[in-house]
Amino acid sequence: MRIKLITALAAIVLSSGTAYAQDFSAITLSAQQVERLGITVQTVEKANSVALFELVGRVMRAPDDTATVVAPFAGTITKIHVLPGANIKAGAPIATIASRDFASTVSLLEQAKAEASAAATALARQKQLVELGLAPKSSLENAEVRVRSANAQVRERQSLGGAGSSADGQSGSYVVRAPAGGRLSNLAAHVGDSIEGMSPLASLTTSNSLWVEFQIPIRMLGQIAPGDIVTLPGGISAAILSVTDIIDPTTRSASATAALPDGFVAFDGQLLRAKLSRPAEAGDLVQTPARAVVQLAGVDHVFRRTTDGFSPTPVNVVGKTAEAATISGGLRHGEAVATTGLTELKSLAMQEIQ
Amino acid sequence: MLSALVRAALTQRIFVLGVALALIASGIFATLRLPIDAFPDISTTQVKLILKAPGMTPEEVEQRVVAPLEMELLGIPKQRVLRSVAKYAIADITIDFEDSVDIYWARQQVSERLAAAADTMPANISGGLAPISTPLSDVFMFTIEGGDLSAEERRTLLDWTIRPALRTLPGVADVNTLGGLVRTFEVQPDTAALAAAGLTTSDLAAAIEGANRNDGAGRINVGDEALIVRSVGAIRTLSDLGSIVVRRDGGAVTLLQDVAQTRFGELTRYGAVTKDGEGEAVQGIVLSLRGADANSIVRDVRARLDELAPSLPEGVTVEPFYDRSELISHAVMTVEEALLEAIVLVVVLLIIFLGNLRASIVVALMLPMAALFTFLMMQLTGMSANLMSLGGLAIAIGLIVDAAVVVVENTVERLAHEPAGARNPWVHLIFRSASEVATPVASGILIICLVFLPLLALEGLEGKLFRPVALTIIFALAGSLVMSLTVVPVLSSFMLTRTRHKEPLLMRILTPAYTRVLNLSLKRPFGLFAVAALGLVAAAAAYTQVGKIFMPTMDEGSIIMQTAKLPSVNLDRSVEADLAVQKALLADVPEIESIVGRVGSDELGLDPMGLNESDMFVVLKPKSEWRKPDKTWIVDEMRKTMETLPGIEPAFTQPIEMRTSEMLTGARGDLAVKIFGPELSTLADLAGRIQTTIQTVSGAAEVFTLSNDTTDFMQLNMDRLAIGASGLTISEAEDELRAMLEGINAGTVIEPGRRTSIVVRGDSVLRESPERFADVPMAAGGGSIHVGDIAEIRREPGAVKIERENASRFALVQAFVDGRDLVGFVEDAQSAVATKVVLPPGYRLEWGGEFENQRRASERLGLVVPVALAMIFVVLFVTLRSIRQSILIFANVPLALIGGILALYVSGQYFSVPASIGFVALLGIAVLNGLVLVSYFNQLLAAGHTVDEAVRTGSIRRLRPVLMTAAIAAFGLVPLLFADGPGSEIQKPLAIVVIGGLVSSTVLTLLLLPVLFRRYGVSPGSVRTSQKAATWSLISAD
Repeated sequence: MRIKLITALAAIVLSSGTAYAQDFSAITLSAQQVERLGITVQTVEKANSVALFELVGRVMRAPDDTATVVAPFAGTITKIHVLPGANIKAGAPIATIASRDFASTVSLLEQAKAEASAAATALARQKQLVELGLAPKSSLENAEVRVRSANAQVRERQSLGGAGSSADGQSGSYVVRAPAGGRLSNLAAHVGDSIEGMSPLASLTTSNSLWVEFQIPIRMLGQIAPGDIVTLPGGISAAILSVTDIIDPTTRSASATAALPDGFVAFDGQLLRAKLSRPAEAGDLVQTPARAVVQLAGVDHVFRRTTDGFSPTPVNVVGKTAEAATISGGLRHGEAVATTGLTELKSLAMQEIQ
Repeated sequence: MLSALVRAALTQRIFVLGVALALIASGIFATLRLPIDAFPDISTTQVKLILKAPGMTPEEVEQRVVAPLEMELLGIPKQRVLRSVAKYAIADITIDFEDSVDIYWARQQVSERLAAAADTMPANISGGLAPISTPLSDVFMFTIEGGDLSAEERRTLLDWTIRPALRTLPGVADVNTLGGLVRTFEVQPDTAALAAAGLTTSDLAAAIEGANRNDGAGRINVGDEALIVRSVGAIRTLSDLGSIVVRRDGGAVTLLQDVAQTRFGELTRYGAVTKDGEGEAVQGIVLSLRGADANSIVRDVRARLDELAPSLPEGVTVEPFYDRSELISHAVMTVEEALLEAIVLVVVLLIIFLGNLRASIVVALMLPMAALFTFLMMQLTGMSANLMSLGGLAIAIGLIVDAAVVVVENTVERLAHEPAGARNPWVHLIFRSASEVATPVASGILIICLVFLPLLALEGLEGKLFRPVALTIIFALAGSLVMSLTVVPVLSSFMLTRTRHKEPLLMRILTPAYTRVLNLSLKRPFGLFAVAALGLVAAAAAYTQVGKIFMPTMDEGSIIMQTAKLPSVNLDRSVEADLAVQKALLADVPEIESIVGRVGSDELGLDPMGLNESDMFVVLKPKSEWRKPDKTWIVDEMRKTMETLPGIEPAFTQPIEMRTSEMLTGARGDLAVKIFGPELSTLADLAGRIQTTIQTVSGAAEVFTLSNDTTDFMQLNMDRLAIGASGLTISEAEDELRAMLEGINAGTVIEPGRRTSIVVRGDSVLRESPERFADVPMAAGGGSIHVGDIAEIRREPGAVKIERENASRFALVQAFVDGRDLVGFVEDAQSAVATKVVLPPGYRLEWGGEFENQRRASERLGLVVPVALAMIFVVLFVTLRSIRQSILIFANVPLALIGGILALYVSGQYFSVPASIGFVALLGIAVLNGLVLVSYFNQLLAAGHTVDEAVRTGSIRRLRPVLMTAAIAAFGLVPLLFADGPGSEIQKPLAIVVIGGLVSSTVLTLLLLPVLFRRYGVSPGSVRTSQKAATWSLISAD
């Protein structure tokens, strides 16, 4: 749908362009002249895809492959067990933190546990009493409620202590453990730092998959959609996963994300340059080197090789990168266009007009 | 008084000889020390300012650099014109001062104003006053070849070894360097990393500048000793540069190498040099100081280069391709040869006419002596020996001997007719014959000097060119006159013998023949009048047919082909195209030895051309190897080759010619039309229309204008909202953009023997693609922003350069004329433009160029020539004491011109300034001839002869001196007629005019003047007309 719109727009631009464009007559050049001027030609190729523009992106970790290690209780870090970048297994200790909150939570847990065991004992006695018929059946329900409530207390206290954390034996300190196996990619605090409860202490990457986030300037925003293919350095393709439509006020751009294919060597934070291209839909799209396109009287032209020289041909450039231009209309594949000696051809074309 | 001089000389004969010998000695000494150049110094007092504004567009250069400077400069007194050109990245301002102004005073004034205007100009402007050079300053050009050096190594060698060595030579103003690559320490920021780090290129530059200094702290005492404290912090290597801290964040630091690459790079190039289609080269040009002796500079330069040769890297040589001294020696040789040949011819003529070897030697001795006297005077007055002054001497050759001829001829004649019995004392005889002719000889010489006087009054270029001619002639003639009345009688007294002579063979043939013709014309004067009238009519007709130009073009032996390509061409393509042109020319035209092409600007900015403009310096093989000994033909062949390279427009000129015409009008071309007005687009439009109009005028060879040339701009229209929102300012963003493409300077690294700039400059990939450039991230408010996001990028045409004169913009249309006279062409062009092009209000035209000089010269001559004629008339009147006779002699003048004009017409030469000097000389000779004849008629009349008798015997008796002076003057110029070295183009028309004129003038003087004298020479009744009463008289005037 969008492609059709672009093509339609391009057609309007092209037709209006040719309507106002001056007609440049053909330039007759002998073989000697072509050779002496060093004019080289290149055959126009059929474009399988439209090269739209180039994007710059920053490599990042895939967000769902990241686990954050949280320190549940406020306190001061007394020991770090691993260095950033180390590979660790699930449950491996990361840091030891001295915490008053932890100490009080532990004592509360002990209280709750005591209460729970007291409630359990009471429930057992009550059961015996009921079996013996000494107590009404209804009193049993009461005792069961007490047990459940005490167990809930214990569970809550336990969960506060955190799944990965455990007392290290010292009173008032606890150890933060890795929730899953992976690579410690970042450590937010150092020994001696005091941290707040439930704050992130480190992040773990659990797989090697990488994404790349592209900055999409406003001028390109309408032309990119999820599913578009970008070509990364080395000719490797990646698909756009999502495109935001919020403009960052300072950078004046939105962002789009693509997943890097497995085996593509890149590092978190690295900058990548990619070409956005789209499969050609119309059959007459052709591709020339970008340098073959020159402006004559404000309109894009190429110099098409004819039998006795060159013919300045107005073209509609639908996409252009530093290397290649994709052209619709005016040029067929298999034709040759001049790629060097363009200044001489251009001045000859201008002379014809005067 | 004159007799007294002769008497004094003859009484002190040994003393006179001694003085003559002293004169010869000092003359030789002066000759050896005389500065030699090809041309006289034609430059005006001119101060040039060259300011470089890296990256700035022509319009910005005009508004921000040129306009504020002009405001200051216009206030300088004694200036004639202020011209400025604003081009991409360069401003070129030229101030012409009045000729009387001292150049150092003028430079002082300009540099004061420059300092005053400095505050109003942008900070990154560099440059200032150009060296004190003239258009003739490019005396020696060379390339550096061999040794497998890279372009950068060659440039370094030129900049830091050869240039300093040559600059110190006396007379060298500077050494201009072109081509190659200038090494820099390049800091190439990783734009994304830089933006991510929140840094800008200006931050980098500031960090580098702050981390690059050595200093001394003072002295420190250690016991009884004192140590000098030196802190060393200057950057010396790339790793020094890379380890500079550019940001500190808590304990962590960001080093330069974290956000940028450091490497050896090169300065942004504004030009290049190519050679022989093989590749890029490095070129040096030695500029001579104004007024220096070009010959000795070249000699010193060559000597210094020889000294340097062993210290150059293995295999490296300095290959000169232009050497002014070669041209000079050729030009001087042309004149020298002509002089020597003339001397031989004159001696031969003397022998033929006088039939007396001894007498001939006495006269011929005057030639070297007068020449030496002239050189002495030239040295004393500070003139240089050049084409023009030596040419003057060549003209004078025929005239120098005139006085001596008349004196010696009279002496020989007297000796021959001395009655056998008369035994007058020997010396007394000589005295009588010398003093007898002293007055007519002196007034004759005075007249010739007077005719050259108007040349001294010429102004501007023609004045500078032709004043030396007139001065040397006057020196030579004055010298010869004095010597004729002193040295010649003394020499005669020693050399001549009393032996009686027969009439020489030639005179025995000529005299009877002449007598018959004279008698016939005295009998039937009307036939003669008819011939004269017919001649006048023919001359008038020929005059309208002869083309008129200012100066014939001197063949300098080299060709410069200037090419123009598409204005928006880039340097790489321009270099490629230049190489293609060179290959094609070398393949097609075997006469070409070598081609050195330069494109764009030179290092000093003396000739800042665009990247699309090239000067191809074509060195030709020796003439003997040419297929056709004709340079025009070679140029035509080159033109044919250029047709195989369409899209590259050639124009042809020569080294000195190019610089001269540039200096004169600030423009190249025979005709330069300036259109003044405020609006660039209107100016361009008018220039285009005037160009097409002039193209249709016949004779237009090349008509072009650069004013409607546009080049493409990538215009970034800054989006104020977007840029404001990003937290940047427009000037910050602009500085950043310039750093990306052009680079910004961040100080200097001092290496042994050279200083290398540190440049912060974006990746070369950015310069290769507008798409990439639009994507460059810049740090903004914690994030990064792209160029394309803060500016609307458009491609727009804009002016290539903006030219101004006296602070008003103008457009220039230049035309070269071929196969037609310039004045007629300009008149046609003016009327065509007047009818076809309507100027809007506020716009005006000015017509200049070569033809401007011609017009100024003819205006000045129109004023001065009548004055000179009046003075000659006064001299005639004083000598003859008769208005009637003076008029009669003047009537001789048009007859002399007949031959001159006809000769010009027949030879196909143009009427030019040298030709008109020929006419001036002719005028003098014709008057002199007439005077010789008439004064003798008067002597005869005074002796009591009747008019008829006086006319007949007088004419026959004066046949020999008249023929002799005419023949000597004519043959003295014959060598110039056949010379074909450089400079002969200028002397040839002159020689043609004089020789042609002498023929007509002599014939008509000898025939018509007697007829006219008999009819109008004396008032009726003042002398006797009857023969009878005089029969008893014994007084002889013989």
